[in-house]
Amino acid sequence: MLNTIIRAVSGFVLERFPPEKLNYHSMIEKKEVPVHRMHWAYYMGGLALFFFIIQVVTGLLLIFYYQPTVSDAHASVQFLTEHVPNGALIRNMHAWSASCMILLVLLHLLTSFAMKAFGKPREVTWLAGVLLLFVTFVFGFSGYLLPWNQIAVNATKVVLQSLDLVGNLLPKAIAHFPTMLRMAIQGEPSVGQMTLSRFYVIHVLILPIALAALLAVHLLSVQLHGMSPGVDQPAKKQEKFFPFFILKDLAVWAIAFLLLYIVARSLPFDAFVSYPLTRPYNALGSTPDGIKPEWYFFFVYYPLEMLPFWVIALAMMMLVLALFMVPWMFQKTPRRWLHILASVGACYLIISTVFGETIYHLLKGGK
Amino acid sequence: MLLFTVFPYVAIVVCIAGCLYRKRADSVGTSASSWLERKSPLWNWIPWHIWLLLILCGHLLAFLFPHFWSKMVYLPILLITIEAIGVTVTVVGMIGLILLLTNHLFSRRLIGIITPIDMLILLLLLVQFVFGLTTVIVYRWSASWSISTTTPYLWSLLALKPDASFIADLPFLVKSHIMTAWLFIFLLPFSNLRHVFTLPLRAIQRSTYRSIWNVEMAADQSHSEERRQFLLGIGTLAVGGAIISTGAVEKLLSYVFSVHLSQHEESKVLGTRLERLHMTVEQKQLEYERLQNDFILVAPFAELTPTTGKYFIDYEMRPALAFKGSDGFPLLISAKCTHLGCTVGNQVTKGKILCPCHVSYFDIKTGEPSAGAPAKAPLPLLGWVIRDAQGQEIMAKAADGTITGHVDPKSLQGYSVYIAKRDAAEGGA
Repeated sequence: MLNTIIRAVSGFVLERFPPEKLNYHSMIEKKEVPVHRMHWAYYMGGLALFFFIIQVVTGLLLIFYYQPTVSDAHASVQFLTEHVPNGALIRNMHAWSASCMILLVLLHLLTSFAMKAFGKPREVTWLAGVLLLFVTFVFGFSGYLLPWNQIAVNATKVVLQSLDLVGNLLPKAIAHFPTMLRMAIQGEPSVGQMTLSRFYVIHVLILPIALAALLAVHLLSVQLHGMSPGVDQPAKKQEKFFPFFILKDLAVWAIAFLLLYIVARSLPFDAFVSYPLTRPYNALGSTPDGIKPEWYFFFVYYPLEMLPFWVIALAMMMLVLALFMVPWMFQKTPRRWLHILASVGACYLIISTVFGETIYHLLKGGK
Repeated sequence: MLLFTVFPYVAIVVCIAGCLYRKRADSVGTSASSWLERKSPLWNWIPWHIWLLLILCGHLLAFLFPHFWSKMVYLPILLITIEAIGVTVTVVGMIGLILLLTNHLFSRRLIGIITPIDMLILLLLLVQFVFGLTTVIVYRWSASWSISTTTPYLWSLLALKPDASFIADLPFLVKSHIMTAWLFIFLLPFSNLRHVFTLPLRAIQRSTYRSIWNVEMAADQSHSEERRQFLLGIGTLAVGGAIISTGAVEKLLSYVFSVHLSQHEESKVLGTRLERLHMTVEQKQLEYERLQNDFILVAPFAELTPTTGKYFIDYEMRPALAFKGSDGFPLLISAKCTHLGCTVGNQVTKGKILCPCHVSYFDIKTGEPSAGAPAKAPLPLLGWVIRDAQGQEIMAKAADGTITGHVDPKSLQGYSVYIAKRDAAEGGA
């Protein structure tokens, strides 16, 4: 019995990480990228990686000046923006690149899904990718708090408080787990210094390590199995991964860098937030109007505002489960259906992100 | 000044007359178009013409549509964009010209096709590039100031009322740029470059092809093609990487090392820090007080109003609001929204206070949320104690509503409102 399990597990692992392919020749030299109409999608993951690299570099620089205490956090960010040469540029790059990274990760998810890049033997690639997606979202959430301004602290409070609501929906025996989790992150009865310290450690230490580890697995298995064919009819043309695809990849990165630089130079990311919300958090005052999360949470935030909490909680749980089960759920589904599903998903994300606020105000307008 | 009023006409007349004369004298086509047919090893004249045309178009736009142009350059972002495009195109055109010139100088095939006067006019063009580029860099925003100087000057020439006073005050460099332009037009008919007027479109349309003799040659060719692409890629990577790193290093060095504040700025920064530290200390003091004391002062009774709540912090360090109730006694209510914990606003409208996060209205008398609000549970009402100046307890209301002692609400003016630890300990708040 035990033997069968061990054999099954090792068989699974050996098939996903074949030792005979763990060499330069088959991972780099032999690898080819199919050329077909979805060819552009092969650049998405690399581009997400590029923005992650930008995040690491600019993030490291930000730590030079940032001070993670409730009294100094906001002032240190302000100092960085106003008095440090190129400080505003680096902070803007960090913020814009964060948004870009999330956008690219989502695009990468949708295109990989549509191209059926999760099929055997690429299940591990997909699972690592889904985990990377969550890590990226937590990155965004934890980084949001660090400037310690009104919108940041209040939005964080709201999200943390929502965890308690999740507890109400769970069976009695485990109902207190979400609250325990909240307390573990929050560290004290109300969002304060403990919370800031913990978010800081999560953002600059735990998540980067987690992301690097997952990324290693993700990239290793991508290189081992090569690019997925992506279309039903095998592509007639192949392009060598090294050096041609990688050079083109770098060219795309260069363009992305140029655009990011221009945007970061000319457009402060917080230009879209009204001034009272970027003031330092005031524990004794009332919560100001217009508290909302970053745009990449709109797809769950606005439905949450309009529908009962349990509906969204249930939907989210199903979605997360489904994401993990994708390689087995859609094993036999033809690519045409995957295309349609991915398009529907993309439409939903675009509509809820771009028009979520408008729809919300239309529905709530009277009150 | 005659140079700028008379010479232009001379140049234009010579140019037109010369071109017409040479065209008649020439056989079909121009020998310039025959250069275009010869593909030089690396650089081709054809793409370079596009850059040249782009530059000319930029100049022409400002001249032909001054009104439209001035509207465009009025916007700083467009002005910067136009200048940036202009500089880029000029630099590319210039580099292209230099490469082409050196290439053709050492190419034996073209000797005899390029005449000395061609060379002269190409060099003149190069000089023109340098003048233009220097002008753009030294005298910034030429796209903007040219509207009131060179544009009216050119229009005055066109209207046959030449007026050089428009450009009289321009720097020598700019005048040289204009002069070289007229000289260029003047010399054009004497060179083979006049093909700009004959537009040898045939040469552009004609596709270039190579003769491949056999399979071996084809394989060899694709191999060398691959190697060439690879080397080009690596080269570009190295150059691009070098440029980006130079910029990045410069930014990083200044980011780390060049923080210099004036005394005024420094004191401002320090002031902010002290103020924030002070706020933090205050907050800690509140916590400490709540651990130490049995009573916490909310406010002197006289400061309470029925319409604007006074924020205070309860024993659990949560925000709360104090009002003057309709019965004349204090009314204390938690301000931590029962939905997601935002702090409720302190303005009363129609007996209700509003949580701005998700729009829940709460009745201040009962704490009940209005129907349909996201918050379902009521805001808890807090107990209070009224004490006189000596700390004597006059009257109290526990969180469950039990009242001990009684005074006439009208005589409360000199007293103060407190919250008591005993209420918090009972779990009422």
